[in-house]
Amino acid sequence: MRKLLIVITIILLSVAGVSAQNGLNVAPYLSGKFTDNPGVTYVNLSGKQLSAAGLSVYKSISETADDELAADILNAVNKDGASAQTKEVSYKNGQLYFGFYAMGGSENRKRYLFYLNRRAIGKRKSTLIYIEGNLSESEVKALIEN
Amino acid sequence: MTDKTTLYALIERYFDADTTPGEEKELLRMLLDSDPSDPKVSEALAVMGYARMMKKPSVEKPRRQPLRAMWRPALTVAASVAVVVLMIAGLMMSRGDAFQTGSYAYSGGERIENLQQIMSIVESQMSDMSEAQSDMLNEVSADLDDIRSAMNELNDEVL
Repeated sequence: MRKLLIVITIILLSVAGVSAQNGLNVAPYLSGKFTDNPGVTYVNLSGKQLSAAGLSVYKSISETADDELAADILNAVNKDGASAQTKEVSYKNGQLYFGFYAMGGSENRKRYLFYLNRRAIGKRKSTLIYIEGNLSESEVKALIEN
Repeated sequence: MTDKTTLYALIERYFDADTTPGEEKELLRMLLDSDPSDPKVSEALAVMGYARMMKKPSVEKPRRQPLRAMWRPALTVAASVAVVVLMIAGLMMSRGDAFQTGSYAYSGGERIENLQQIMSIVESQMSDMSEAQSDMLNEVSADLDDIRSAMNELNDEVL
């Protein structure tokens, strides 16, 4: 009986580990929960497309014309941004327009967020990208630029 | 009159196979002294009566295992497995993509598995970010130029 309980505990911890991989406020928006939303574009990359670029995770969500979702995402980005190791942000018309955040992580699993809020310049669209991999900050930014 | 609390507790212990032979004798006495219309009493009497009808063994047998006690370990295992399955299912449902493999995208509620289409979306997103990042760096550069100009003017005035 005790062995069974130990096995069950290990299974549950493993599953929970998968689920809590991010530990970020933006995690729910990158989990695929909003794929039914007609204004949402969600991407989840895996495999060779990533490993060739030194990445292990690429997830993104874009929304158009869903102001409530946009506000929730912005709120989550602000919370995570507050605990970022480094960040580069730009504001326009009093709103967060662009943000790049280095969220730390282990040597081979450094975590980064990119956020773009076009509502700050009058367009109803925002995009959030989550990247994980063994790239440095400058390498991730170079990846975006290329 | 037999105390019901004590009787029920002893019945419970009997079904859990925790009673000694002496306690079983006492339980039988209490059951025979109790109201037979009580469902717990009648159930216990039925089991004990059945047990008493069995032939006495010629050799000493291990203590009787009531049906409930025999099935208890299996029920516990089944319940534990059910809990694990339900929790994993719950996590899968709440996580959406937790256990999906391979690249995929959704747009307008429709699933996209064509890699070219997916990469096209990714490139578009990265292009947007790159443009915004460049825009930010250009603004910083322009601000630094303005500061440099202002400092030069100040130096010229001083001189």
